[in-house]
Formats: sequence, structure tokens, C-alpha cells
Amino acid sequence: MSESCALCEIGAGKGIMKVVFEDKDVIAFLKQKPATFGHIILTTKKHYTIMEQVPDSEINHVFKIANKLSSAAFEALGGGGTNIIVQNGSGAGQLHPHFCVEIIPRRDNDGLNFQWANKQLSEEEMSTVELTIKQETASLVIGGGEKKKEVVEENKETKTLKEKKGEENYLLKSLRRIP
Amino acid sequence: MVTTKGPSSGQGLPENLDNMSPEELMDFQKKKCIFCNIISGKVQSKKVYEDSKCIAILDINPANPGHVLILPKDHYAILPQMPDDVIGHLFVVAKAFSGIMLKILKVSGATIFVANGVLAGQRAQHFMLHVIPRKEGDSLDVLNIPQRQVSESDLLEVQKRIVEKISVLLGIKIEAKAKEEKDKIEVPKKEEKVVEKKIEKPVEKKPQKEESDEDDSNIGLDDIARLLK
Repeated sequence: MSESCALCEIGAGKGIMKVVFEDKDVIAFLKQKPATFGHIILTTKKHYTIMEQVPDSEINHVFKIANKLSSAAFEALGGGGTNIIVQNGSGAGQLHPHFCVEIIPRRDNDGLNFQWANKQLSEEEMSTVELTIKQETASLVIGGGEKKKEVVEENKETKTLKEKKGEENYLLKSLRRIP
Repeated sequence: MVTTKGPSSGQGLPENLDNMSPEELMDFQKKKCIFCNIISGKVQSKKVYEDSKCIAILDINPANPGHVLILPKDHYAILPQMPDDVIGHLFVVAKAFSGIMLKILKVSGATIFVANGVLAGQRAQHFMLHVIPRKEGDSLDVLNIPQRQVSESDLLEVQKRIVEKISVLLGIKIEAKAKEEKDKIEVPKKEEKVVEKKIEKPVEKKPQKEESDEDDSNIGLDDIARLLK
């Protein structure tokens, strides 16, 4: 816990926030000045300034809970969807130096619009970005996820063949299921 | 947002659409889904990462250069359809991308954005995370989250409704977790009521569940929506 962090204080039960969920790792409460009704802030009890500091196991837990809270808000208040937003870093408009997830229930004519304007990049600019990022992800192993090698041109044919086979099997299976 | 047109399949809707089993419908959706076709390699994309559960591609109409989409390999339209491990994995990958962007794109942050449902701005029938590199003054103020003044009583009402739902959705877990905590922390005297109280601690007026439920159902969703305007 970090001193003088508002979210840590809430996590420690010192805030006067309207808590909607709590376990030993996370706490979720209603935002005092919400974007829409049911706007929830979900945060870790441990103090992490930005998302990169949060261990993978906690990320897994936080977003599992975010999904449930999203469904709960949706079912409790009706509406047509939710936005889940992480503002990570000052450039992204992060207000508190404590990682948190915002869950915003949406409904018709709620006055919100997160629709950004698309930027048109030249083919060259796109390729530069692609290559720069690929250099970093090439050696990346994330969360025990089995890394797949780049799909080489030659493999493409065999891959599609395999898929077709899979589809056949799938169809056969569903046929057998019909009584 | 990606605006690529789907592959020209040339075939209309199959006649037996109504008679399809859920599995067949899923399969049909998958064939029609542009992102499923990107994942299978039938449609070209600028792929920057792939593992057994997900794929990351550059958004061809980015909000900022380096805007990445992270897609589950299996076809899920919305968040609640996905298994917990896939949800977790997608966000772990998003975290990694946020870190990469900070390191190599000379940005000072990343917005991780999910539009879950059409009203939330979802455009494609395939669930995805947006990871958008950000820096001060990048003219993406549209991603700032507005704040509104609401009354204390409205907040309490919303809290009550959400607590009730989340307790149903996670009921068993909350009890288990509360018990865990109970064992750790010194045991209060009224042991029996600990579980209930833990969940409803912030509610100042004690809700009398069954009875008050009926009264509240008179408050329509429209009333709630109106309050915000």
C-alpha cells in the first residue's frame, strides 16, 4: 500500500465509496461522478502505478471480475452494452497513479461517444510500425501461451487443407448429433 | 476501426438458416466473419503477434499509429461468451503491447478499449481489444471519460442493484472468499452474518431484500436514463 494514494485508501476500506464487489485482491466501487449510471471502477488492492507492473496472474483475475461486473451492471440496469477502458499512463489520461479498470454501462442516447477519428497512414508508415512492433514481439512469450511460428507462404496450402478436413469432421459430427 | 470488406463469397444466406443447430449457426457465422478469415489467413492483415489463443494485428484505420487489435482465435461476439482463461490471456497480451508501445513508439501511455455490444460502439461481430498508443495532445480527447453529477440516492440505488446481480453471478465465490478472509482476519462476534455484511457493507440503509425488490421494480430503466440527461 502506498501512502496518500486515494485508491489504496479505498482498497483498505478507508474510503466512503459505494463498494459493489470486494475480494482479497481487488475492490470495485461506483464512481462518484459517473459517465453513466453503473459506472464502476475496479482496482487492485495492491498498489501498482501502471498496468505493466501488475503480475499476469492478477491481470487474469482482474479481468475475470471485470467481465462479471460488466454482466452484472448490464443485467441490473438494462441497456445495450458496456465499455471497458484502461487509461494506462499519463498520455492516456490516467488520473490516479494506481492501475484501475473502468466499466461503463451503455444505453441508447446516453450522450457518450468514444468514437475516434481514423488516421490514414501511408503504406510505408504502416509497414514501419509493423516491423518495429514485430521486432519486439518476435521473442515474446506471453502468459505461457504457445507461440506459433510465422505462417510461411508454403504452409498456407497445407493449413487450408487441414482446415477443410476439420470442417468436414465437424459437419459429420453435427450430423450424427441429429436424432 | 477496421473497415475492410469481407471476402466476396457470392453466396447469399442459406435457405435453412432457421433450421440450423446452434453449432451450425456458429460455423456459418465464423465463415462470414472477416476477423475469422483474417485469423485463418484467408484475408491479409498486418499481423504483429500470434499464439495459440489469440492474434494481434494493426488496425488499418488507426486512432494513432501503432493501434493494435487483439482478437481471440475462436469466434466470440461479445465478452460474456468467452471463457475466463481466454479473457485473462487477451488482457495479459494487451499489457505486453502497452509495454512495447511505451518502449518503442515514444508514447507516454496506452488506452485499452473494449466496446462490448453495438450500443457501446462495437462494429464487428468478433470480440476484440483495442490497444491505442497515447501521448499528451494527441487529439484523442474523445477517449476521455466524462463525469457527471448524480445524487447520493441514485448512487445507492445503482449500488444495490449491482450488488444483487454480482452476488448472483459470483455467489459461491463471494462466500468462499469471505470465508477465507474470515479465517485470516480476527473473527467478529456475529459470525453468521459476516458473509452477508461483507457484500453489503457500503449500503447504508439495510436493504430488506425480497420486499424492497418489488418496490424498486417500479423504477423503470427509462427513469434512470432520464436522470443522467
